[in-house]
Amino acid sequence: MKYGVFVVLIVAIAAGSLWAHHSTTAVFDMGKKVQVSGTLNRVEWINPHISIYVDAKGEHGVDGWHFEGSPPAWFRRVGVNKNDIAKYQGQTITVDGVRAKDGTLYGYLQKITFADGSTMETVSAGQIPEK
Amino acid sequence: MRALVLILLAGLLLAQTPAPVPKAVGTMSELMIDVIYPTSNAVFYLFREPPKNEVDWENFRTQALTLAESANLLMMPSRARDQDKWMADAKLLWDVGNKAYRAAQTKNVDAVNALNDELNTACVQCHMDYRPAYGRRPTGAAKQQK
Repeated sequence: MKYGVFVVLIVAIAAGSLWAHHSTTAVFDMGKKVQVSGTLNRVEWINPHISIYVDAKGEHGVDGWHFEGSPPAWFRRVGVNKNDIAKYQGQTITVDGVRAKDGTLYGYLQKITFADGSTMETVSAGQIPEK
Repeated sequence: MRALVLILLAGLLLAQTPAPVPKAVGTMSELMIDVIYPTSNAVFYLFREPPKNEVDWENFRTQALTLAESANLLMMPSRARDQDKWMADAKLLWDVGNKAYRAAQTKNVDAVNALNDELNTACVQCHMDYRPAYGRRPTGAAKQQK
């Protein structure tokens, strides 16, 4: 089976156990899945969470989505740096995550599928996909 | 004579009235969620919307001072878990909060942004030391396949 670059990031996703500076479960509804496809607009590699911004087609124009991820230090530990994501800036990506409880265009990043078919996913240990 | 007795009685009563002591109003969780998280986020993310006018700076100064003073709230006797590591961790927050407040007073956005790592370290250090399970989860791994 042929794969694109496939990066698996192991992280505990269980509610309340994310390495969050803010209270993740207070901000995000961990059961409210959301999938957004659009143009990767910007990547912020800053504490306490990295952020990616995606411009997606909405009902009344362009929706500017903001997804937070784990801290930069965590990504460094698992061998992912800013450029691994930022190099896709301007391209279409699909983001899977959970949505903010307040219903704004804001979510917590769980998976990115890039235009070339490669993916980066945060999964809980024990849910690592087979090769 | 009567007045003297009254004065003595009043003095006795005053002597028996305990002096007010600091008493926490919110729980640790409430202090974190309602005070420390939003004010630290104000410092972390100032670069997104730097203050544009005096009102913005006033708001940020308030946030920075609240963050700095929240370190003192962590050090209150009823909140301190111990007198060494806890206090040292809280002092990290006091130090960076103080710097953020001084930077706010001089309206120095760059100086605030430069505190990102120091503030993160202050947060993470205390969470590592006192937040159950924090930092003790799988450290993760990266796999690449072609």
